[in-house]
Amino acid sequence: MENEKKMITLKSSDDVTFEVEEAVVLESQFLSHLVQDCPAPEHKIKEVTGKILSKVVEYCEKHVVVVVDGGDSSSSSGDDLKKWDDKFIKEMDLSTVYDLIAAANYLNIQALLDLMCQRVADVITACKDHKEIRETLGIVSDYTAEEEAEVLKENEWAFD
Amino acid sequence: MADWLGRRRQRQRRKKPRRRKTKRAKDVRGDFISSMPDEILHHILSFTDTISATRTSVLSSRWRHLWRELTSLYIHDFGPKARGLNQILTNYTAPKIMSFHLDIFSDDHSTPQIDSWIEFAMSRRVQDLSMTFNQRKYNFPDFFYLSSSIKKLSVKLRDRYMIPGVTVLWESLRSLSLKDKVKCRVFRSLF
Repeated sequence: MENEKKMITLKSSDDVTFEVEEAVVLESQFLSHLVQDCPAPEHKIKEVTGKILSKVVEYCEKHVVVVVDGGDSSSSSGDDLKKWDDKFIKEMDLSTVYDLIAAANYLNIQALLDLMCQRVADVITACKDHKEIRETLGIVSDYTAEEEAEVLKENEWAFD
Repeated sequence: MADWLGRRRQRQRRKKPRRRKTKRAKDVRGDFISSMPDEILHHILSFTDTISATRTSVLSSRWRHLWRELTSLYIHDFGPKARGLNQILTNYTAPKIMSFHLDIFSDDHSTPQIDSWIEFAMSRRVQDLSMTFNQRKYNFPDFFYLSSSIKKLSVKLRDRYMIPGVTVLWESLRSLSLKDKVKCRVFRSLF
């Protein structure tokens, strides 16, 4: 039975290939439709680079295994998965986080999108002020000094 | 979405040779996060508390109005800054709210003030309403007991009574949670 697992090859925009089980591909709504509509052995994902696709595959493989194995010990495997997710994002630079947000959004993998958006939200919450948020997230302000002062004044109570 | 990704790829192509990546996202390829579509930025902000989301209005004009359109509000322990909360609600533009979580630990707020916050959530057809109060001498207004939109309601009070003056009509309610010594006469009229 184990030998019957259907394998699918995903090819990134820069032609890096990943051979994965069909169950892994089904974590992505976009890919599961693609596989159903077009049952080819290989699918090119033009919008995602090899570096990012490898992260997507790593995430989906982990989540598919835990869900399948979960069975009778679902709560402990849920905790393990949470730990794994924490480790997965902990040392990731924000540039990769942004790429994974774009990829998860394009491939329609809601749990991965949530995880990455949560990571950015945590940065926003942890920063002491707007200057630190700008610096950390790489946001370029287009406000003039007067405009910035005006917006700050609008919400001054929130900046105590 | 494809357009957004397409634009990004063109921009990357122009930028070669690629620079070495550093910790700062800005150093790699400009202000990438601000080029994301509204739906993504809303999704990011939905994981923050509402006061943090409000602060992002000062980042740049791209961010100025994003927080006003969030469909979930999470307001936690804002202390005596009622003015701030009123300002949030006045500037909020989303016509519908999916969830409204309000935790009040200060007991300085007047009854009409708290009533107005609940009225705000209910006027935006809130589906998931969660409230924690330490307020002394507070009774929910009658309109609180009449809602066709609330599906999930969670109330955490300290030693307070919930005594509806009307027949409770929560038509869409699927989940109800009352915690911490809530003395409640809701059930008799609800079932």
